[in-house]
Amino acid sequence: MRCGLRFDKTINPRAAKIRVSPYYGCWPDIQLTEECDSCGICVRHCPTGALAFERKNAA
Amino acid sequence: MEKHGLFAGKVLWVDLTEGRLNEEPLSYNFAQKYIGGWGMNARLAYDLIPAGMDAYDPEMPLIFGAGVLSGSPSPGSPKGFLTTKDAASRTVYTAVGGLLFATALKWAGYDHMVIKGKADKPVYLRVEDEDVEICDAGEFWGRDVRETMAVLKKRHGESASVTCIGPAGENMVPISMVFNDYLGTFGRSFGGNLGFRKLKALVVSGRKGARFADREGFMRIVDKLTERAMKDPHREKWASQGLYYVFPLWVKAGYFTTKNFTEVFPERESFDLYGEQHFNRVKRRVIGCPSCIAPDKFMWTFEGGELGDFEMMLGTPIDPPMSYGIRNEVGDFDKACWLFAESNRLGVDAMTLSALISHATDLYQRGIITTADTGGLEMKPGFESVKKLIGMTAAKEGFGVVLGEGFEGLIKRFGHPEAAYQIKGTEPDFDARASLGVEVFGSVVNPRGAHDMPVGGLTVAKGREPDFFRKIVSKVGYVPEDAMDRVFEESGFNVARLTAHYENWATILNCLGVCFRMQNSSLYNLEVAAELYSAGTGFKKEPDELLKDAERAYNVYKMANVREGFDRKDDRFPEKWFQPLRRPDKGEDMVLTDYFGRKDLTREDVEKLLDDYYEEKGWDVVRGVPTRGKLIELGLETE
Repeated sequence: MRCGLRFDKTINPRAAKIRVSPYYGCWPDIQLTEECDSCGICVRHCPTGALAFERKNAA
Repeated sequence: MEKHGLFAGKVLWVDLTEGRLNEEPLSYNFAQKYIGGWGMNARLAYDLIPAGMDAYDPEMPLIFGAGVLSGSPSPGSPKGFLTTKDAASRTVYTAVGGLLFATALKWAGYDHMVIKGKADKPVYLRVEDEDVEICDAGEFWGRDVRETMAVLKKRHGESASVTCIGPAGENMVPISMVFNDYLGTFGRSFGGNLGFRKLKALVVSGRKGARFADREGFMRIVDKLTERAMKDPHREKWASQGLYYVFPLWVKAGYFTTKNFTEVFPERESFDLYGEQHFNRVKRRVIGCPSCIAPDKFMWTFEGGELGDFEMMLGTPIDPPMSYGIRNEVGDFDKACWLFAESNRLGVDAMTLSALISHATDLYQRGIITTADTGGLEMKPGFESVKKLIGMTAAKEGFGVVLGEGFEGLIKRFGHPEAAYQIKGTEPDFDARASLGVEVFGSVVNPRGAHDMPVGGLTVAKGREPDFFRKIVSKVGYVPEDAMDRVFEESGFNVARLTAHYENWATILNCLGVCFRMQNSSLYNLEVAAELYSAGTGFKKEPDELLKDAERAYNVYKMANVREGFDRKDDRFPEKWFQPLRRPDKGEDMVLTDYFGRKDLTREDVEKLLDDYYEEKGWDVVRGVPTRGKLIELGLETE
């Protein structure tokens, strides 16, 4: 919801750039769309701490 | 500014007999007086359910609703509501459910959905935005809850909310339940109400989202609440342990009772057999509802045990030990969980069934129930006996038919109401002998039966200082200034009068769709609730207006049951609360006292408390029902 709100004035699940499939199977399926600009709002508001930033090409 | 904001603005009407689907605009005049999931549901029930109508009548409506804040990011606001008449207790009540349902309904564009009629073959209802269809369910009629969920989630997408019944609901077992999204329920009944009309499931998915009236204003408040929630020192514990967090507190308080609610299970064995180490061993994943900031539901997996590998998902992990584990003396964490998972799979209310088995076993041991009644089955505590009884109850076979009818059925057949631990057909979770707080008193006076409307664990355990209560209640703001001195006596508080006001606060949270669990509900107070309502919907409401709306909703809910013949005679303390609760390992008995344990309470004291409660509600003290004057004051009747 937080992500969608950045891109749309309404609460619009289609506007979100992160898609989380709830809990069918063992682990939730989390996907970022190509439009994700890595703003980090999902990381800041993740209630379980499941999301984190990772430095790409870290030494 | 959008006038309707978080209201979706439509009500969906479904007639299963005619196969007719119809949508009507939500009346905003009405929706502002009877707010959200709980308020509007109560009013619709009052208007649509004539007194005395059978729970299994095709005209009996199933009224679904979403909270005003549901579908928004306001912390912990996912709650959906189902109101109809319960076949076991004959009360008209609203069952509350979490997970995806309310968010999906709101995002599909509906605030409420009313289903009537009876299909001539198994069906399920599919709501995908405005695309609504009554679909054939022949292929999974007879399948269990998990299988049905899996098939429908696969067919309609992981994000679709699936609500369904199991075989027990199909068999119209009065204590069967309606399940949500694998691990939630519309607790704790109504399975038969769907089964009777051959409605196996509902699939709801919404892609339209929701609107705010004042986006900036709303999100400013939400950001503050979220920030507070993230800093809550208890948050991590809630999110990693859920209700297991309170397990040690409940053990010490004496809530884990056995031998038909006459004895507290020993403390040492409680920790050995059911302690945190078992919870941590099987915990695999944490699951939460939309908008929750401290998800506390879990997937558990059991591997390599004598019962084979199995998994279960559960929102209330404390329940398997409390029910089959301790009440029915199964004596093993994994076995208690297996039985709980089996009940959920078949669609039976495990908590109530465990209380009924406890009661029936007691009567059997005293020779009141015999093998002639049970069809040869020996009623004894333990895994094998309970396993058989779960299967028989769900299949409506043998003695399972009697158990499935609930306390009323058992009392009608075998008498001994004094041995039954129940209020209006439901067993209370909290025991007055452990702590006579608002949770316990709320269970006594709740029109639906023994459920605790007051929320947040304020008085679940003894031990808080008298001045704590006035302070905390002032912060939330639901006791009006002129009532403060009546509610808070010098020595502490009057539990009956506090409950009378606390119910209004719980009603507000229900109207808005906010979860009762402490990590969520404690973030809100009356002022914040009014601000969120105003910014979310665009209809300005002051805190005292919201409180009046809650009172109106609670009174109409009560009146729907007064019409069914319920009154003061039904607001009873179970007889067992006047008997000592044995605590052999501590060498002491627990008896009914006030919250602070200063005074033993007699039956006369309890009657006085009931007088206080009705007086504080502004009701007729003799009959325990709303007066005509109160109904006129609330606009429910005219002069």
